[in-house]
Amino acid sequence: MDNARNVPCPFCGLGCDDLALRASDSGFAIEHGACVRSRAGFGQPPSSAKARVNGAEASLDAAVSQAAGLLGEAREPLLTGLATDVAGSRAALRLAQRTQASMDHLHGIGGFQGVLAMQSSGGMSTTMSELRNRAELVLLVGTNGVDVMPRLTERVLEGSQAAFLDGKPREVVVIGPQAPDASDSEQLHWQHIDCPVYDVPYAIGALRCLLEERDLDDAATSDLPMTALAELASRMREVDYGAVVWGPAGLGAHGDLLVEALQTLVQSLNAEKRWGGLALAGNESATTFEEVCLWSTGYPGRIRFRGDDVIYEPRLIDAGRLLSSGTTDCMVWIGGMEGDHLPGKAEVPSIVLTPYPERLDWQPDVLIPIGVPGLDHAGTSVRSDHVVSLPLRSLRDSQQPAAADVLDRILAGLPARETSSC
Amino acid sequence: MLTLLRGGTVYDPVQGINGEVRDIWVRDGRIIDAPGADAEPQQTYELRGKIVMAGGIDMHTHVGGGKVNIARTLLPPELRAEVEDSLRGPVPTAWETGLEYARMGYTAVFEPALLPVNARLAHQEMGDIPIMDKGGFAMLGNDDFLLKLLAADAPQAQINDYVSWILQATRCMAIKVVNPGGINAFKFNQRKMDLDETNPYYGVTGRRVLETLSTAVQELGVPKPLHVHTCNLGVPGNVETTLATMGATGGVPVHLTHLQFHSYGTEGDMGFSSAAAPIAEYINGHDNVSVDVGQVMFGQTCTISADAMLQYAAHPHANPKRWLAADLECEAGCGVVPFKYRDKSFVNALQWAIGLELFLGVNDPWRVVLTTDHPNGASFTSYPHLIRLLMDRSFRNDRLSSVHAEAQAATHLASMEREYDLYEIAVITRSGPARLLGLTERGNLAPGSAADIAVYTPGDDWEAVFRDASLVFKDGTLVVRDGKLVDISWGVTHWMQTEHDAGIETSLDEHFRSHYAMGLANYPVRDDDIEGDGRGKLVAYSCRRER
Repeated sequence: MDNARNVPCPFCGLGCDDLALRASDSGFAIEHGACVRSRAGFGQPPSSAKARVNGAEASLDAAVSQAAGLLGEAREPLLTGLATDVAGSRAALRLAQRTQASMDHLHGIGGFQGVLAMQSSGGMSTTMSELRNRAELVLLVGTNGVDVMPRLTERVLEGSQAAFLDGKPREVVVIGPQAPDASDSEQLHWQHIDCPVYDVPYAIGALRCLLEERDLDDAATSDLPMTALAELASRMREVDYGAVVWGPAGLGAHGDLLVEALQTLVQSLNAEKRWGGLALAGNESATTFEEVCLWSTGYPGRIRFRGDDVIYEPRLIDAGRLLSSGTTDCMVWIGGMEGDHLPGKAEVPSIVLTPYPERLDWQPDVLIPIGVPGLDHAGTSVRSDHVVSLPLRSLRDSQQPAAADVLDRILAGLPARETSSC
Repeated sequence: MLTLLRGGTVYDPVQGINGEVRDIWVRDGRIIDAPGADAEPQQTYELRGKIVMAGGIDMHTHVGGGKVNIARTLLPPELRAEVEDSLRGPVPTAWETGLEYARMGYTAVFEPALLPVNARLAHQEMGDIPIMDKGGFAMLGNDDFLLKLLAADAPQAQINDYVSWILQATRCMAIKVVNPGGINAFKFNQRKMDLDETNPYYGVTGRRVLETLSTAVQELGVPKPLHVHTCNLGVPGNVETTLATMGATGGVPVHLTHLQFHSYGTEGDMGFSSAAAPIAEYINGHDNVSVDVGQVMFGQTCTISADAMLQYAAHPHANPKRWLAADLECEAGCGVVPFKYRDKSFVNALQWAIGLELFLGVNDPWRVVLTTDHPNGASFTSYPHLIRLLMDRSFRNDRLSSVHAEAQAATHLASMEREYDLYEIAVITRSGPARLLGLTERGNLAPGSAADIAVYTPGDDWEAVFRDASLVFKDGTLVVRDGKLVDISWGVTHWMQTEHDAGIETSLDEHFRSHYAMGLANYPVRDDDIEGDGRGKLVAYSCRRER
């Protein structure tokens, strides 16, 4: 294990790549660029866990063979988790096509709010570097930023790094229940428009009315912080470049409608000034899977393979629903990133690929330890803004295979097909 | 393995072969000289009466990079079936892209608008396109680093070093500029930028960007002339800008892309007219200019462009009404706007006619490349139809007689007698783009070249002929028979190796620290990003530096 600098971090969608790591026997200590996620991720000691079949230690070959047998018998398999790198996503898609499986990333419908909004209204978007250099005013909707991406303030919002603000402080307005997690500085001014989660859509609606100078019903706004929203609206009209940022997880049950409202708001603001929207997405490799799934199938996820066709049903192909309703008969879980995400006990034959087998509190039929991309093996992950990808590195000699290798071995072990299609 | 393709009628413009009956011998993926009378081929294909050409090369087709995925997201699946001639839709998957190209006898595709910071992912997406060779053109000219250098009057040598560094870092084949300086200006809320207008922040004109980048490309020795999507795309009256752009490089080679969208006048009651004639005339008189057309075809498509400024301006035309524009990483932008071209629309019908006027008006086929700017003018799957329009005047005029009546009156198309012959089709779909790109071993059937070969069965309907190739060989392996895939291969990624002073990285490092949310060290594409899946392969070309 060597010391490493400029290390890309795979553990959230922010895609920091400035970490300095120092190897120790129990994992890596982070000397620069630490956050709660990277500490947990890089701090993992190398795993020597063995594969298990029905709870008993087994060779990788035996586990792969058992997994192929279970999948070969399944009629409605489900591939979920899907927290993996580009190569793992490609391999998962190959296996799903071959086994005519359904696929749903572990973020489920929460990760689909942006997609559904895009398919309804489109939008106007910006990226991390544009926001960092240009945005005079940033709205953080339903998030304070750091709850989703711990280093967002340091890496992106800090005004001292802005190339085009001429030293002016950046204003950041948090709309929602969470307070800002930082205090004002010369470069960064925070404001909190406090409202409960269920009022965030109403606050955004009121903001749109204020910006468009439409009449507002007093009864509908009585619970809203209208003075602050009115001030914000007038400030929004003044800035040359603004950004509207949302954390998909914090938007509630009908988040797609809220994202659509935010996107159309951003679109209309561009009639006069420049604005861009940005989702703090991409944790657990959601963006990585979405990108690969799009170029491979034409759809962003929530798909089912049927013959040579791909069926896209964003509301129906829901891993939780498929499992609880008994409409899947085999689950494959692929989770190669954070240890917090593990599948709940499934009532159907289950194949679990995870770097954290010891944390699983139930016994799947097949359990295969895998490596973490960016720690145990090289790979590519995609940042939340979809534009930038990170060259993940292999930082240590690992005994654990990459998810892609295991999935391809399972694919190779499947019984021969009755019909052939490429 | 020795293979003989016997007795086909060969069209290979690079060798000047125009419809001669020839044998072609292939060994280990390469075309070879006839090995002598006693050589026994392991495999022989009898091609008497068949048309034999090199594999097709699409020099400008949007097949990789984030904007293509945005289009896939935006374009509703229910509209895909409406696209003529194909169930695949205007924005197919990587897999379908390879299949549909291979079916038509194409063997190479180039993504012409690769955002440098997106290079790794774009290459990985293109890596999933089967059969095809691929490559990218790295976009510069709206990136803050270049504009900062220009604003500071940096010496040309430093610009050259940067351009070279970008080619290496992105593993790209050529340099593209889109709306020079304008995409950047849009981020400072400028809504329009002509060639001699200045970027509001840097005070740099589009002309200056063009001059500097075209000079850099020439001095680095990159064969492919600067690929230029000039200002005012789609704007009536943009002919003046386009003529100025062609003259802006002072004789240095320049390639104007999707020229159809830049060939508009303002005459007539509708304030929209064809300016194809003066533009074709200019090209006919200036050997340093090459173009691709960006032909429009009727039907549903999705326009995708780095030109965020003009795509934003076009958003009211979105059909269906969902669109996206984006500012991207201090490098460029993009705009994705679904669009339906209708033959009963005056403007759309005239766009269609203008494209054809350009094809027929430019005399030298070596400087015109057949493109639809996929998917902007139409899907690449419409190429066979386009080839028939070029080869068959009565078919063309029949089609013309069914479009918007006033558009018919506004075009000279009906009187244009030219019909492309097979030799010229081979030039504009293979040999010409190969020569422009500097691909000496592709786009021809000379001994020593790669055995990328397409075989067609002649017939009265050229669209049917070019829809489904009879046989397609990729690097000597038979991959398509009668339009159907019979074997899989993955092609290579072509890229241009250039030289520069490594000192440029000092300035870049400083710029990355001040502008990027990513470090310089992690920016360049690693060879393993392309080859690590075990099937991708990089092929480097060396440049001769002219200084």
